[in-house]
Amino acid sequence: MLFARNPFFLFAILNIFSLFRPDFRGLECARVFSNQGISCSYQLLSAMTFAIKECSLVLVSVEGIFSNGAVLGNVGTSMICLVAKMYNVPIMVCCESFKFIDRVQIDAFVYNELGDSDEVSRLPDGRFGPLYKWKDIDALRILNLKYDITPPELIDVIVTESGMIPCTSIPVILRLQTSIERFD
Amino acid sequence: MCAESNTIVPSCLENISDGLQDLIQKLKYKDRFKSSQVVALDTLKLVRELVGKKTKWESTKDLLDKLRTLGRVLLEAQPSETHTANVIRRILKLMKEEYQTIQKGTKPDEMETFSLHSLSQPEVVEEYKMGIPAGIIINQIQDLIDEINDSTANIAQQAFEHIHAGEIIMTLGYSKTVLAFLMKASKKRHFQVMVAECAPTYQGQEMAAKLAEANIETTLMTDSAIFAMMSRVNKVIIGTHTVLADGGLKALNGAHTLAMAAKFHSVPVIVCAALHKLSPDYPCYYNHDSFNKCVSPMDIMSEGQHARMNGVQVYNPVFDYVPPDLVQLYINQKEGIAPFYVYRYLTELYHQEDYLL
Repeated sequence: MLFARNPFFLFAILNIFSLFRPDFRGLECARVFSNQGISCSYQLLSAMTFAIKECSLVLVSVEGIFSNGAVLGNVGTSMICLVAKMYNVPIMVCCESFKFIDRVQIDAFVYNELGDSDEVSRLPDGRFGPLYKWKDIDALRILNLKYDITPPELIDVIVTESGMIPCTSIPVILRLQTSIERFD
Repeated sequence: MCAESNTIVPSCLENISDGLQDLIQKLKYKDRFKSSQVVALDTLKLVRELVGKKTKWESTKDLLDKLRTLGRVLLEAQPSETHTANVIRRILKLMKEEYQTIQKGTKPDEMETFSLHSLSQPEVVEEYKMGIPAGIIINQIQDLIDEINDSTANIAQQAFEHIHAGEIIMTLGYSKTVLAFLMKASKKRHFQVMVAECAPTYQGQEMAAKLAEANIETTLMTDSAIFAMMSRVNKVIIGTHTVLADGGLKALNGAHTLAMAAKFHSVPVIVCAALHKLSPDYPCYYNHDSFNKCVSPMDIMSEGQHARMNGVQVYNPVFDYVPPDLVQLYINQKEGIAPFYVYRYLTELYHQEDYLL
């Protein structure tokens, strides 16, 4: 998940948000970019409003896009898009067209994936915090959601190999793809 | 004798120097989970000590000045901890009202009537030359201490007005007030709570554990799942660090994102905050020292991880500013109020001269 502050090709300053507790994939992202000589800053998703004021573009990579324009991304993608929208920062989704899905989905509940609860009950250094005996408490459940749905109104543009398109054009591309297959 | 690291105490506060040094140390190096109620109570105890040591013939003005200096010293020690100054401002206001009552023999309500007519009148500057008996002030301080002690319980009393059976409620991080509020509601009604864990402090884990132990159906989730789960939520109930003069919040980091997600899904946001959290400050810059503080980034990136990177800036801010248009309701120990009514409480609790100590 990248936040480009200066979208010039040489001097991009990135704000990277670690979305994916428990696995903190933003860390890896920060390592790769900083070692390429791009100056980066790194913060957690909760500190997003602290950093978004300095961003001029939000770049997001996603898992898939449904034909109603809803974007299936790693959990937290929708929050980034929402905050960026509220601060009027353009949101660009990078997605190859093979990730377009010929189905519709409007919420994150019907199809999703749950991760291991223990990934959340442990602190990042592997220790247990206050939840060391959470399995004994009947009323407590832990939710480790893997994906979420970003509504199409939060996305400004989708960058695919066939150009930059709005969310509403996903069904058009899907139809073109199927008609090409039919002719073959 | 004072240790080297101790702050220099202004001469007028020398008679309470031990207690003051203690409080300053606590403010400077305190654990950031410690409740604001304790801070307010400690300050009030110090004020009580100061007033108790006043000489019989000391004028009210001297005492007011001493209290102001105390407020300034405490604010300087920890600018983000405004509760110290807030309770001192309240005592100042109470003392001024007492003074007026004694001097003029009128009730404060009668003279406080403020109208457009009184705006055009030349302002009378009160000089506070006479003294007030220390006993009266100490009684007022005691009342305020009691009010703060009971504030959590009094806020919780209102829980039944806001929580219905079968609702799903979302909260963030750990707040003693919200915990008491939800526990009270669970005595009569059955509902579910979702807790965002609030990285990197993971206070939400403690909150979830305590709620679940009280037999409330609780789901703990990561901060990133807030938006996804919000569509199922009926109400968001959070605590805050401070309520600002514009009706906004200085709350735990992540509260702004939570409030925005709630707004997107048209979910009401309710804030439980006792009156000592009400501050006459306006937010200036979100990253200004007096508003936010950035703490050690060790919690989000270890030294080893940072060593593998090439000069990455890591930020770990503590607070978030939540604008008033994202909040529906504040619940204090007396009633629930809308953010646009906060100004009224400010004029009621603090004297305008004391906004700047």
